[in-house]
Amino acid sequence: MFLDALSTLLFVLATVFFCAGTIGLLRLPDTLCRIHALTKADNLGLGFAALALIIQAESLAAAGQIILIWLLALVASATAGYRVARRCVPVDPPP
Amino acid sequence: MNAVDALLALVLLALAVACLWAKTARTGSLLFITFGLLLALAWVRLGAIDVALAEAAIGAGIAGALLLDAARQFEHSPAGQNSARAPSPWPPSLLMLFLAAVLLYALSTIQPLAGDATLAVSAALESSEIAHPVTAVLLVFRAYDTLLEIAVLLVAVLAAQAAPSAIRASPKYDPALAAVVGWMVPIAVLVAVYLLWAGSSRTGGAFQAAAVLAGAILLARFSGQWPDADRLWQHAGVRVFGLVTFIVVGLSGAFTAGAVLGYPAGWTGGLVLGIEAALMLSIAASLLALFGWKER
Amino acid sequence: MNTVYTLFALVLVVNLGVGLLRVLRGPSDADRLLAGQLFASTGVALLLTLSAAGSLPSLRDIALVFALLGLLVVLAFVHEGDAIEGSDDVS
Repeated sequence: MFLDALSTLLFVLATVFFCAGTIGLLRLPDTLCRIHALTKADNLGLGFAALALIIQAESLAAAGQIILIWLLALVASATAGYRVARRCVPVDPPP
Repeated sequence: MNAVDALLALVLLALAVACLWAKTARTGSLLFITFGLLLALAWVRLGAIDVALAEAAIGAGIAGALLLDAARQFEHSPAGQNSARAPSPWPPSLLMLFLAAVLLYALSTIQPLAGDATLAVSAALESSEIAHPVTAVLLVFRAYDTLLEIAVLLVAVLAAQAAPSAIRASPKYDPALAAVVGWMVPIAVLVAVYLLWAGSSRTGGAFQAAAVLAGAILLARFSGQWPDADRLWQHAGVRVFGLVTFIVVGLSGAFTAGAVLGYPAGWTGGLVLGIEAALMLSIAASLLALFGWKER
Repeated sequence: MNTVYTLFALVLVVNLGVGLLRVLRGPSDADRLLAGQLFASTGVALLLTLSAAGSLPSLRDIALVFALLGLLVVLAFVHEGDAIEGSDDVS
């Protein structure tokens, strides 16, 4: 079935990005660099997985819920990255 | 799915050991919170979905915040700063091994009761007018246990409030965070109400909803934008409201249904939802009271 | 599709295992916090996949809670970082 093939392809893409994110988390030299790997690669992986699952979703409501979860995860992840980064680099108030 | 389960179990074990061997209280707390996240996944794999939802809502939310806060206070306290090195991890590790052995032995000798119990529940489910077996057991068949549990929670909160509360600096206002939280808090409140409603027919219920609600209020608090976020909840009446509602409805059951904590036919669904709503507010207030917050 | 779900779930759990190395090693607590965020987003993906594989819609609710409250831990951790600068009195 075409839809199944498309979902499988999206899952493969998701795998690539998830693994890239995790490898980045492990191998990058610095906390600030690791934030990049985590917030960008992992969430892209999550996005592809969400897309694959939306295609397979059993109802419109289910698909909508998956989209909501994905958006929330994106926002939460970005904000978390921002807060962790601020902790590593103190922000100086303008003179 | 067995390879997935095996790997998950291994990661959980490694996290548990790392938690005990952590060098500082804060690191240990962080590891424990992560452990809680994975434990929720383990509950899912074990088929206990309501427990998984509760673990996720509480472990990732308010319990995590409580633990980190306590760890920080400990490290700033005279006792925390005096200890030259972390206490030896061997005693708790050995205790953990011993307890694990005992549990494994107990599990191996247990006769499965599941068949009889679940059959009895499914047979009686129709008469309870609640579609979800867990909610039916909690609030219809074994309502007395739940009532006492709520009372115990109230006593625990009273005891916690007897301890001197720490004074914390109020969180600095962060515009980016405030903007994000401004969206997330209403969504979280909606999700809490949704979980409350879902409890009547699927996984959900008062406790999980309360944990999400408390988490939402903490989010608002931490963004520094709404310093009075939990002022509304600090009123003692809110904490007691759930228990009082439960008792009132339970006692009225003596007149309307012939037994204390019984429900009149046709009204079970509505009454249970009402009790759960009151419980949600009270448990959220109680959890926030445990957090306690006095500002300078 | 079930095989695909199982394989993807396996990949995710392997990612968790690898992320564990960062949790254990990560020199600073901020690194451990980041690895915790990895666990959260991988957990969301895993829950969504398990929900589809086992036809359990409630797992999506758990994923929703993960996504919402995952931020709270970071805020609780970093907030107390802020508090350290201004000395607070612990009675």
